[in-house]
Amino acid sequence: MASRDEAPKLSSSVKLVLLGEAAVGKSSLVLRFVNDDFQENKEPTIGAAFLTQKCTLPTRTIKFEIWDTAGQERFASLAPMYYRNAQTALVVYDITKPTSLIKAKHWVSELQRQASPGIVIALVGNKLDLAAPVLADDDGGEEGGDAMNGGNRAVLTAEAKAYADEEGLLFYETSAKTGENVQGVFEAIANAIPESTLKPRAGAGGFAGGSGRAGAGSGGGDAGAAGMAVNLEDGVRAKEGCAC
Amino acid sequence: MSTTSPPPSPPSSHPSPSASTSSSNEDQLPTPRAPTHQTTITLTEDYFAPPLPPRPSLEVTTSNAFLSVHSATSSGASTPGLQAKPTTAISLPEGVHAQQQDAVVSGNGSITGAPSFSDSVSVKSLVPTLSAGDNDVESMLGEILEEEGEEGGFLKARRDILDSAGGGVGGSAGIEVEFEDDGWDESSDEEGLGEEELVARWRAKRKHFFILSSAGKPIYSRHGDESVLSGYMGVIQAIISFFQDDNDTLKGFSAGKHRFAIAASGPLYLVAISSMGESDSQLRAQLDALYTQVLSTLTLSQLNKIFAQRGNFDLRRLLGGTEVFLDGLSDAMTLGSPQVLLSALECVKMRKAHRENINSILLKHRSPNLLYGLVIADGRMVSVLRPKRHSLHPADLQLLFSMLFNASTFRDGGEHWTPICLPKFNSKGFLHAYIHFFRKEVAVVLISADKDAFFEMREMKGVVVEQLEKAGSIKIIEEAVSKGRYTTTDVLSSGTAIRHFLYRSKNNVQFTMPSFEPHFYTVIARRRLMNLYQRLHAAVHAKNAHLKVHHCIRNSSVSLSWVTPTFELYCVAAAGANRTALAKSATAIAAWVKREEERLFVIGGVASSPFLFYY
Repeated sequence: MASRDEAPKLSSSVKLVLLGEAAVGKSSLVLRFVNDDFQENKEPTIGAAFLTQKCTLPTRTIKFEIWDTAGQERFASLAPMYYRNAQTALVVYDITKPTSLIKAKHWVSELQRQASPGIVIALVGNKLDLAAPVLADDDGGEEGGDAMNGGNRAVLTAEAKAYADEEGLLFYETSAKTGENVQGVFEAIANAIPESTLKPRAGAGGFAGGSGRAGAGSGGGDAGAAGMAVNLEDGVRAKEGCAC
Repeated sequence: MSTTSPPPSPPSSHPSPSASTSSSNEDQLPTPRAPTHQTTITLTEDYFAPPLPPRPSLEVTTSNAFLSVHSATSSGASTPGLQAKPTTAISLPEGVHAQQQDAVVSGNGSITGAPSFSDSVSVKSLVPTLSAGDNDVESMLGEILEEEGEEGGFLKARRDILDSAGGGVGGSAGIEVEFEDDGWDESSDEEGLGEEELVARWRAKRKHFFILSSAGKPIYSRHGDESVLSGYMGVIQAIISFFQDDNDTLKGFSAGKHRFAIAASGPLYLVAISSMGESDSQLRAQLDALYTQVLSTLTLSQLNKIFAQRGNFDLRRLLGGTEVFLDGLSDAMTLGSPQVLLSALECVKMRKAHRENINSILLKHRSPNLLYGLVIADGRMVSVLRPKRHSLHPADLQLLFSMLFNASTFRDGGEHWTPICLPKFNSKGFLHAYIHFFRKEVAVVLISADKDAFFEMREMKGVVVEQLEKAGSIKIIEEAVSKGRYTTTDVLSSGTAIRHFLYRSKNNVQFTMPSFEPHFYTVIARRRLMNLYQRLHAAVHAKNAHLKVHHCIRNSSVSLSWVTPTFELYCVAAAGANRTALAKSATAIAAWVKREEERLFVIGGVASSPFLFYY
């Protein structure tokens, strides 16, 4: 793990979990973030997918260990396994589908009740591209939010923002399709994680605090790449090199 | 089906003819899986909910009085693997191959079926040796061909293609034609069509699969949407329950050139409608594969519990997201799946030493919570690691293979961790599978009973992949995959008339076949070939058949099936091929496979168990 010493910045890994109703675009957000790619008609996630990606900030490098969970109802009972030790959560809804915001609110309250106390939660309204004529900025809130005016938008920015403020959540509207704001969300999260909760890399990974053995797997996976800037490919490469 | 008698007795060997009238599905499912718990491996229970009440027993009657339309082939006789024995059986003394042999020998039961297409095949094709019965066979085939003729351009076009292919490699001339046929079940763009046209298109599909609840609620259909379907579902449910009211079980019937096969599995009805000439038991094997797919998502316990509580539950809610797997599987079976037909798996051909290398790497680095470890490439097995006292049932493996290769869900290069029920292993609970396609066509699958074992499996994968890389195994696998399958001319002399063959090793529950190229390159040609295999398979597996060798001459091809206690061989030769030459080729193929056995199949130390790597 010599390469870590070369890195001048503090490097730490952060467990991130994505939650939200089926088909809101969780996997697409991750795909955009990790591979800068987008697939139409992506097949639903089954169970959960695990990905890693680094995010380089001026002062530190954060390696996200991302749990992209399946949104289907039947997997809901598995969610605690994924958010249990998560330092941060992305709760995603679809701005064209009001019910998905309701589901997102449920996830937020479940996280507030059950997840680790200091968890940083970001509320993300995805599929911004479908709200065609709306201004790209999130200050737009596009009043008179008719279908005419806001494309297919069915959840007003202001409404979601108000809820996020009330609950103390980060709030973004994104489009995984165009890539709009996707990097921004992850950077904002990286910035929002308190310095104190950042652990040195070795302790990373593991579902359950209790099961010690589980933690061994993910550490050191990216040893060779730690000093590099965000490399969109290394998520995969680093994993293969994992040889602990 | 009890696990207590020494060799698990296969469903096809029901002693009494009456028992054989009930589908073996029903026989299977309630099988107690207790033996699995004797080992140290504890299975995760259902993740949905606390322990479940005992499964409400299905009102499956084994009444003798079955439908007159029911054909004699409709019992499980010819689908041994899929409906097979209790696999959780801790050790399978000889289960697997005992059961396969049975498929051939069985059929002492009385034939009650009215003459139907598949019956006539099996009856007429009682050709004891190669030297007899040509005329019979030909007349039988005449029937088939006539039948095909009725279907018009589509099949004719296909026949032309095969004919021209039979004349040499230059068959490509006719190949483009077939895509103009409307008979091919391509998922076409159906947007913007009127309802009438939608229905017409829906009806034109050559094959349908439906899953509905016993209350008649639609759960899945490969084609068509709700508006088209709901009426039909109601009709199907009414037909099935009409017979059920008389304590009878409807297994199948014909309408025009369509064959309907029905399986009542647990609280579900599965229906296959096909105009492609499969036998009932083949269709039922296909339904069983779909049912296995449903169970893998829900477990049998969960399924039963749901319907015990709410008979009219809409199961689609819980199956959400898995349609891609059902679609992928349906399409594979419509195209013709040798895996499902033979209920066997295919392996990547490689040198014995290379495979042993991979085996030993898996073995050496297995982690404590690992249950099964597999390396799979291009839909074929490379290596499998299993606990000493558990085997992997072919149906479970097929399920896994189908999920990995008939859908793109897991093929994004990412790491996946998913609960999965392997119904033949344990239909009550979930295992957890770590799935990673670390190369485009090559995957590692590590299955654990511990839902928190992701990072453990991940670490093992990391080490295994590194070691495989170091040993050069990955390169070998990738080369084997990119090179494709061997060709018939690799096996036989370059002038051979043999176009294709399927060889199923009963001991290994695996099969091998040459490349579909050059003769069956197109989708249509391939499907036609698979149709032929289905017919050959049906003929030698018909309940009343005692065939060992079956020779079949058609306008377009000459084919031969050969069944022995250790293997089944189906070969297809160009039209006009000489019978003696064909027999010689078949012998040569068998000898070649025998010689190459350790390269073609994943073989353990003990032949009676499908995959045996002790640890």
